[in-house]
Amino acid sequence: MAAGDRFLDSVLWLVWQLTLLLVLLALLVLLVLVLRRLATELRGERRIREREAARRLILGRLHGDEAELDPAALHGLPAAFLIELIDELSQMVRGEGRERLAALGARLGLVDRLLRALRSWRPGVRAEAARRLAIYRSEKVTRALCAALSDATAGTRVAAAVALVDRDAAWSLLQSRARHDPALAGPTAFAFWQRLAELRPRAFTELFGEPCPPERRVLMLRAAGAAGLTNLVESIAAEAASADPAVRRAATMALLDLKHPLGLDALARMLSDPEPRLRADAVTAAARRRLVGLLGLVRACLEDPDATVRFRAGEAVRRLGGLHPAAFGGSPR
Amino acid sequence: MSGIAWPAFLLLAQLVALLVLLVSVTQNLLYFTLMLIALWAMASRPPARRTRALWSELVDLAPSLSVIVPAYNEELTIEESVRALLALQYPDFEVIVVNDGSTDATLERLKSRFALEPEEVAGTGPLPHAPCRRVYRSASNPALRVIDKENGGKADALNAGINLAEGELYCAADADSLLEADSLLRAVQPFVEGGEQTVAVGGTVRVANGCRVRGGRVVEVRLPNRFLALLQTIEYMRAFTMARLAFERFGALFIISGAFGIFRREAVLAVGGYDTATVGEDLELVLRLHRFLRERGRSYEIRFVPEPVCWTQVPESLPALARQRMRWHRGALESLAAHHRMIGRRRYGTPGWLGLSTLFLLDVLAPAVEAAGYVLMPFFWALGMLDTNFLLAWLALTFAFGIVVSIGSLVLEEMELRRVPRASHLALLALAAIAENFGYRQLNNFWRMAGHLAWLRGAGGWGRQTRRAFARA
Repeated sequence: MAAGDRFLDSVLWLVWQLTLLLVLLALLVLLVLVLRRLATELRGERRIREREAARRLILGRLHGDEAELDPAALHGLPAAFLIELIDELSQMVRGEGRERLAALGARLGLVDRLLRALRSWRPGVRAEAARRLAIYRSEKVTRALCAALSDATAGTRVAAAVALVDRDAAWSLLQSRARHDPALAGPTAFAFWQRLAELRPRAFTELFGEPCPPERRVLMLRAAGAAGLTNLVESIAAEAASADPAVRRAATMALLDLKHPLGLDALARMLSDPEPRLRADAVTAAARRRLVGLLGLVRACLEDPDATVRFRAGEAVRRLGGLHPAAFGGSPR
Repeated sequence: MSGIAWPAFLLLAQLVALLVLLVSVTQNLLYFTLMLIALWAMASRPPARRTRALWSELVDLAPSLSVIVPAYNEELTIEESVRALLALQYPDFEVIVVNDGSTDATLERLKSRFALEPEEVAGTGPLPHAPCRRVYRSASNPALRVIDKENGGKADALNAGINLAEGELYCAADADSLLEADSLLRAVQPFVEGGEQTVAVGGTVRVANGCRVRGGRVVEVRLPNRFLALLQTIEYMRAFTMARLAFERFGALFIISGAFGIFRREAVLAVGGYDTATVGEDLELVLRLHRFLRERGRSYEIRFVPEPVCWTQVPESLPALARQRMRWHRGALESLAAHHRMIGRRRYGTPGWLGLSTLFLLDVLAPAVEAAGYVLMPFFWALGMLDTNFLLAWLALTFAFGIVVSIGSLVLEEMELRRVPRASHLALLALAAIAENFGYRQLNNFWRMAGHLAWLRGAGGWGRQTRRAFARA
């Protein structure tokens, strides 16, 4: 037999042997998982009851004169469940209840677990840990969150930034990140800017006055509108004439969110914007907000050169109550 | 055979056998790589949020959404499906049922159960479709609208729905599928995170056969009673937890199931809506979106989220399954043919050089080569042209490696999603994962070949569809 043939034969032998080995390995892993699941099932009913009891116990001690909960009462429950439960409850309660939750979490040793998760190799786990650490206000947590502002993944950086907004100790670092980190100009960073606008309106206003890329400007405009920052009306109105279409649209929508009369003027201008997408959005916005005063301009869009704008105008005219015959003329095409 | 012909035949046989083995190796390596990538993708994503937490996070941010449900002869399930859709957890949505010229009592049932009243509409919209008879709105729930139109097929019905839709996004759902209450909320996350860059998101589709259903919701997850449906459960699991997740990681996702997918309406309008000339309209639309956006140099995302789940009934008889699989394969070939220019081209990025090339290898080349292998390899071995190790290697790659991939997706599912309710179900699915490689996989290959022939002959249409009511709790 030639050397080549012998080599091929060995390779083929290796292929089927390896494949069978892989099959055995896969079956073994599955067997372990099945057994693990079986064990979970056997103690399942008891675990569900325990978890429900824990939920009720914690909720009952969050307000009023009730004494703080003894962590021993939650002994035996998995830390992952307690972390999730406290995270869930923290979104339902405010003020003293939230502080008590944080204190309970710290006493249960959950903070250390979350800090470990913040160093996990799994980016998703790091981001989730940063988000969940927001209710814990110790110096150690603040330091870890500040370090997470330099994380490799945008999701973790944004989550850490959101968690740090109301912490004075981290403010100067956060301010610098807000200016320079591209993650905080991405679409997922809206929560950060909204929280900043709500909790630090003066700082937000200062940042708003600085030049920035259009992506960040759009987020800031949306946040200003959502947080009701009426002191920025004039600056926002100026942005409604920006060269960037996304900024023009965000500024107009922000003015409308602020319910300022300038919003109507901006929307009227947007109805004749050179960008068809903006005209289409303006038509929809007029209809959604029931701006009957703009019916004439919306009706004019029935003759728009863009098919989508014409179609949306037809819908909008009907919504605004102006059943113009042109709206029933069949397909705009 | 003469003295010269036999060595030549031997060489040819060995070359053919080597080709069969090489295709098999490539196919299995690809599956294995996809499995590892899916594992990485699952591990690196954030843990699934609870519905309540998700609601409070998205309530002010979720874009408006229209759920479009094409319905053709769905009188058995339509009421339950629509009630379940209207009860979905989402801040701002409407449901548009498109009665696509049903010949049964679908429309009458909708009219009587939801107090439908005729509504005037402005124009028919930018997408062409078969003539529309009437549009109705429910007096009992204004979020429900029904379009009654002449029959034009699923793609045509979806186009009519998109025209009428008022949402920024739309969700294409089948009338005989059941969405989990929080599925829209989960699927819309990438649209909130990615902004306008996100043009489409797909969710997981699972087999509803055998599950207990109440009020249009799956209340108890069970395995199908029929063996054929059980095998399909493994298939769906493999397709959704493995392949789609892996392709999504590379931005090469090109299949968003027609049973459940969310699209940015404006993007779909820009590419001209669904193609009514193909039976694989879901695949074709995603390919066209990729092509359109790549050709214009636009930055975009097409995402897959494993958590939002849609339950669907799968065929339980061989003829029905054969029709479905032949239709799917024909649809894939039609879409591939329509967009063949994208295959392997750098201009089209990962969807072109990775996604479509893989689709070509796995859906066009591999089934034909594997089918040829079933006949040729034992024949060559029996004639003494192939070594036993050659045959064993081929058998291992063809039969045993399939088990690795199926078990792998089951492990992935159990480790990250935990949707299989009981340990006994997991064990049963493991048996099915083994069994499917002996007979079912070969049948599937045969149907694919038949679909291929149907495509070459230019056969069209969806074939006969049978509908069954869901098992009630």
